[in-house]
Amino acid sequence: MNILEMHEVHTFIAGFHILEGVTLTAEHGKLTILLGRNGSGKTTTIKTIMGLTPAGSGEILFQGKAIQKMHDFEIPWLGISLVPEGRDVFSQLTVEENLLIAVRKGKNITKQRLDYIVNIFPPMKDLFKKKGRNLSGGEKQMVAVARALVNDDELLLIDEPTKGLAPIMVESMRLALAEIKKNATIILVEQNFEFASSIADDFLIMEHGKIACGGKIGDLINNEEMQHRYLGV
Amino acid sequence: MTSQLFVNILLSALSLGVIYFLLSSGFALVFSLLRVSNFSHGSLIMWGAYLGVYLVKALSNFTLGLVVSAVVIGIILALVEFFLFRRLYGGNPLFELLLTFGLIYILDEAVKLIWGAAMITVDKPLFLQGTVMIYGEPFAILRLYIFGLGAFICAALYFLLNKTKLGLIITAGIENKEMVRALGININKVFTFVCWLGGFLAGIAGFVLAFFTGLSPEMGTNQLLNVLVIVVVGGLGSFMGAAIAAIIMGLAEAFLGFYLPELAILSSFIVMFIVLGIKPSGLLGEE
Repeated sequence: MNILEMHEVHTFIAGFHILEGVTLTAEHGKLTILLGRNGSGKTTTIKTIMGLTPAGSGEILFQGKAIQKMHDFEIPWLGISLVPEGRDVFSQLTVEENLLIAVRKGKNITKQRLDYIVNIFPPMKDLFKKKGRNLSGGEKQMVAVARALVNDDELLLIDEPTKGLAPIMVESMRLALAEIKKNATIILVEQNFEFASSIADDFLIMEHGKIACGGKIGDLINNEEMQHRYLGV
Repeated sequence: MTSQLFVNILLSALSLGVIYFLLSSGFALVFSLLRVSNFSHGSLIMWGAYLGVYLVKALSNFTLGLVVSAVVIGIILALVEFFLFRRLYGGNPLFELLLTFGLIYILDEAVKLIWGAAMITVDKPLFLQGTVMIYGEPFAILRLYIFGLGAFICAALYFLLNKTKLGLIITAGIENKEMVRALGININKVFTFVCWLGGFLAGIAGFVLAFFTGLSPEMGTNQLLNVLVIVVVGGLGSFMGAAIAAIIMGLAEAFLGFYLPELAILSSFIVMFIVLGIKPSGLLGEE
């Protein structure tokens, strides 16, 4: 069953045609990796799903419901969370406040949810009172992912979580995502093919604002010609 | 200088700083979140003064008149945000300049049509007349009242911005509006509320100012330069910076007025040159 479908989605930013008819599906409960060279439209695809760069035409279905005409602030309420490329942890807020601001229902994060987050990212328990501006790159990435987990959403869109991280942090992130995917569907944008191939179920490759090909990750791992052609691996 | 005189000047300086805080807080708040330089802020202050004085007489209730007038000024700015500012976000700053200057003409001329262009003196209510002795020196009750009002508003704003979820959203929105929207928050509603609050503060500031300057169509615009200097000294985008800058301005004006009266009129610019010379981004502005 598909949790997300995009049909012939076109997106324009400042007059530039960025997505040129994206058609893709993401299966429920799977981790789908979105690969492609720089500028191929991966981040714009994620932002278009979230309504941050609205689709000019085409259809986006989340659990069968068309969402392409919804306001950006309405889309997360359907059960979709975003971990943006730049992490975008609020520097003036503490880690606790960064999580609190993301809570959509009720006033606080439930104890059960907080335990779940700390279980995935054990170092988080010592960071709650720290301001966002005082966090390291790896800590910011942890907070950005943790913030997307506070609402127990069905679909997580995660944009380049390993970018700029030390190898030890990349490994922590791999373990964290492996744990998270037990309870949520993930669409992951990633440049690091080794990292991506170790946790993904399915893959999609973007080229020039379109999906060039997709399938099971095993097919890509075993196809060096495809890796070389689309990813330069 | 005797210690009594020092205390008297200090209290006057602080109450002047509080007036400056009230005058600039609305502008600073709106600029912090919306990045809109609302040059019509002075005219909203003036409207707050006229409407406040009129409503206090009409309702025969000082506090009710003050609050209702401030709420109405807030609604005016919220409507301006909803119908006008919203169309300019992220656009050419020149349009914002033209719009807010256009609003100055509309608001100023509307006051002249309703209340006339002549200056009107404002009588203090009985309970704000007279002086109290503080450390052996007489001090105007009105200034004490303003001091208390400013402290209350500052504390309330501090609580709102730092201790509530709305405050977290405003702080986060100042930094990254897109991420706030991606968290499922309708930032446009927050913008409208912040404009209402900015107008509310302008309304209170105008009412307070009326006791010192009387009512005139220019009374708010005359304060606009001070407001801009305070916001720049505090650090563009920092609400608390503006609050601190307002107090420093009050202290500088009062003490310079005592020691070097001929320079008192330049006090705000002297403070600005010193602060920006040391820290170009202002007191609490981000580098």
